[in-house]
Amino acid sequence: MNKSRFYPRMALVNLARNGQFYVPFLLTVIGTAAAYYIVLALAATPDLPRTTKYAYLSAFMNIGTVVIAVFTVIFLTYTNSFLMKRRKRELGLYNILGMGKRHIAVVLGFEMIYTAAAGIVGGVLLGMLLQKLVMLLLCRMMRMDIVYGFYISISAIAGTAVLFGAILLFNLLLNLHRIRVQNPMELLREGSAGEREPKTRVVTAVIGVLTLGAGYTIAVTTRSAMMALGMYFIAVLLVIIGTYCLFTAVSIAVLKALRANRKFYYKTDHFIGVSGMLYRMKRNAVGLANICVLSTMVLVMVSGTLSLYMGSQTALDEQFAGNLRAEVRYDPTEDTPFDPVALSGAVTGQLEARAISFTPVADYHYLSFNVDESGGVLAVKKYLSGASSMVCAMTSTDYAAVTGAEAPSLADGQMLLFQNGSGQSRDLTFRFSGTDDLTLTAVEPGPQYPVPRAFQTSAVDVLYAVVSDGTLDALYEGQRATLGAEAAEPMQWSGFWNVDESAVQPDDLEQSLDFTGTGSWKRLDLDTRDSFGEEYYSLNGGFFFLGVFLGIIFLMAAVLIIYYKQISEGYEDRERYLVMQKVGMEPRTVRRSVNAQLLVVFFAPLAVAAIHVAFDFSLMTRLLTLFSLHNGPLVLLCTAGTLAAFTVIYALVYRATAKAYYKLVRA
Amino acid sequence: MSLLEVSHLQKIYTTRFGGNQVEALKNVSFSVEPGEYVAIMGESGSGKTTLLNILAALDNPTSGQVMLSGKSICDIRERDMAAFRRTNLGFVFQDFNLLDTFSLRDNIFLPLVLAGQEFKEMERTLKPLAEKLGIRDILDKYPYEVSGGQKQRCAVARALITNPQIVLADEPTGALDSRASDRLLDLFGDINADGQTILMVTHSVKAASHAQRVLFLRDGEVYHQLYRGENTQEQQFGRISDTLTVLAQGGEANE
Repeated sequence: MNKSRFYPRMALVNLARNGQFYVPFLLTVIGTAAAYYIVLALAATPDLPRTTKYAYLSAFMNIGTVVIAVFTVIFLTYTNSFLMKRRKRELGLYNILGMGKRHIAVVLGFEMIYTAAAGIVGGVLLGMLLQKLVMLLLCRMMRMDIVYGFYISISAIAGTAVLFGAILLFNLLLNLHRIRVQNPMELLREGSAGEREPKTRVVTAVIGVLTLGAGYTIAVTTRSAMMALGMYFIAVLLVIIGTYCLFTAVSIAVLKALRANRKFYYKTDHFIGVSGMLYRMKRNAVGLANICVLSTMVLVMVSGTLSLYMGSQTALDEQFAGNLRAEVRYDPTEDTPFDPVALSGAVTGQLEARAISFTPVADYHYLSFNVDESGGVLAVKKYLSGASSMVCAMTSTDYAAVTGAEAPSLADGQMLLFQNGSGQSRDLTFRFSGTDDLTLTAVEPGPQYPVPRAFQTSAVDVLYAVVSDGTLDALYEGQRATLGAEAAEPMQWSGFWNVDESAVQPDDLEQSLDFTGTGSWKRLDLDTRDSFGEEYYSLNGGFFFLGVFLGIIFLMAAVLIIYYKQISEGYEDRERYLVMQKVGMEPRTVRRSVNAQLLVVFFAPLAVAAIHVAFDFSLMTRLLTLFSLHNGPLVLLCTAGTLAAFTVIYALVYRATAKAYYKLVRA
Repeated sequence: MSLLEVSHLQKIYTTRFGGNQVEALKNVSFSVEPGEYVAIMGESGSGKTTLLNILAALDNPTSGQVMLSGKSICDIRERDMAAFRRTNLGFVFQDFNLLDTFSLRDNIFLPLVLAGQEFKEMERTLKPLAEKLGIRDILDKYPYEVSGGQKQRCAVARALITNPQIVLADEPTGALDSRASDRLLDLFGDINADGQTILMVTHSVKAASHAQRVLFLRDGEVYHQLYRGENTQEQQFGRISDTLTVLAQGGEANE
């Protein structure tokens, strides 16, 4: 036989014979390569208009590229090591039959070349095929008006080829190293080495309990969104560490404790179940933890971005009492004070001039500044730190106008306090530089004082105070004295009208306003709900797209791990099945017990992921307030919906892969 | 009354597509008395394994009957089968069939746990047995931690712990070295001396020479049988060898 043709052929035959393992691996390479090509191609979309929302598109795709690249490196390396473990015996046999390690290396090299070629070419082709579809989807989610035709991105092809080529080369080198350090007898024995009883790793178990506890504690106790942002990654990291420890050590410690309890252990079902689970956990702990972490990521990403997307409209409505909004920041101590009536007049005058009909909705002013609370005293701060809260004050007249309730009669030094969406009855003491402490006494809240919609919980812990005109002035003066004239927070005024939105171009309208007689102010923002919403949607839609896109990839990874787990369990369980029947266990009992174990092993990651998500929920709700989403019930609904959909997919995957398992066991 | 009565056993295997029929057992009849130690010998393909599978109720005969203590085992309902096997039969296999996931103690307890016994009771039963089999000190080890001989002695303990009517052993020395084989065979002798009925299927002349009686199986029929009687084990070894030689030459045995 021609020697130069022998190795390439052998490599091909090997791949085909190990198809049960290599086909899913190849599909994964193709899938991730396609995903990577798509985000690269979209990031490099030519001739995009230079507006913010298209800049968002590139930004989102760049995030996607990095995440997918990192994920692919980890995941393909993990999968490859699994494949090599399964093949140790086969490779050992080649060695014993007279193939040198160098020859085995050549065969492995050819195998990897085939995999890389098929994976990259297939991936890029699939990517091109799906690119247009993804683009359409993205445009819909981000509410973009321009949809691009089909194009082939050379740079994206090159990028995909380089990344995947490098990853597979890296894995080939790892495999060659594995071959080099192992002697053939070891390779051969690997598959049949007796299963060692799993050790109890006390330290790992303790670390697992501690990290998981700490992560959960952070998740539940974090009150402000700023804090949540800071602590989120720490919490995530702790929970991930905890998850790995939980599956690898805590589970084994628990099972061993069960086994030590003789009364419990020596019962038919427990006897077979506990001992079976011990070994299953030992073999699969890391795989299960991987599935759990991936599932949690999918759930959190999809539910979070879905909430954002679904909540966009509500968030917009919350911010826009009418669909045209004017916002002005001003300093009330100026010589010629800002005149809201004149500004409203300027806006409505211009609307009239354009023959656009309008109805005024509301207008109010408010003051907001940050405080740090310590020892029952609120000290004014320019910047928020983790422990800060925000004070937002408005007059009782404006409060009445906004809520439609009767104006509370408040003397100077009295206030109506709202926090976390409900009335409060505690007093607040402010400390300002240069003046005495200002203490505001809370008026008893009651049903006659409704909570305005604008007073929802926000990114930070907000204290909403309704006060008299004089007290509002005193608060303004106080914070100005403390922060200095330059850094002082401005007074803000918002006016709302309902207009025919299609007729109004806010930028154009703002340009043509006549500001005579409006007094002095710092900044004016004029927005319609639609113009503002466009940006909103391009941001939230982009997030949602990324969430779903990455979610699909992570899900694919989880499915692959599940599949491999079932296959390898199938091979191992076959023998146990037979022995148990021979020593007098009814086939029915054996099957029932094995089924139960499979179910536990399979759904444990999902259950743990669901618990993670439950704990993460309050943290996520707070984080989402950073994106102006204050809709707890919506987030709950989206999370529950995502969990339900995910469970269905998970169960379907279980059924499909369980078939592969039973086929092996019954064979 | 005989403990085990096998009469006119026939087993025909049909190949998958219904074409060829293979007659693994033609017409096998023999009986085993309580307390007997019987070895069944024969070459590969002689029907040994088929016979043992039928005796173990793992397979059904095409015709014929197997009676254990006067009760036909072919009439036992499928769902009672596992329990019947557990309480009446003890198995010793060539490859031990110990479960890796259990300690040796738990492997031995397995049939008792399946029968729903209390732990204390199991411990009480195991103690003298472990003493006799010389496995007391390794009970807490796992199968992969001990030698083949030790594994097989544990498997014997598992077979004996239910106090079965008969122990069925399938090539029990097949995977053991000669020293471990000797020790196991001595043990079988001791167990038998205590009154345990043993039926052993084997290739090994040496193993068979320990039994009180040897049945020779050829082409699905009991071809010959040899009582040990007053012969020493060495003499019996010679007689079995001679018989096998005759058998191999296809001639008639002269006894």
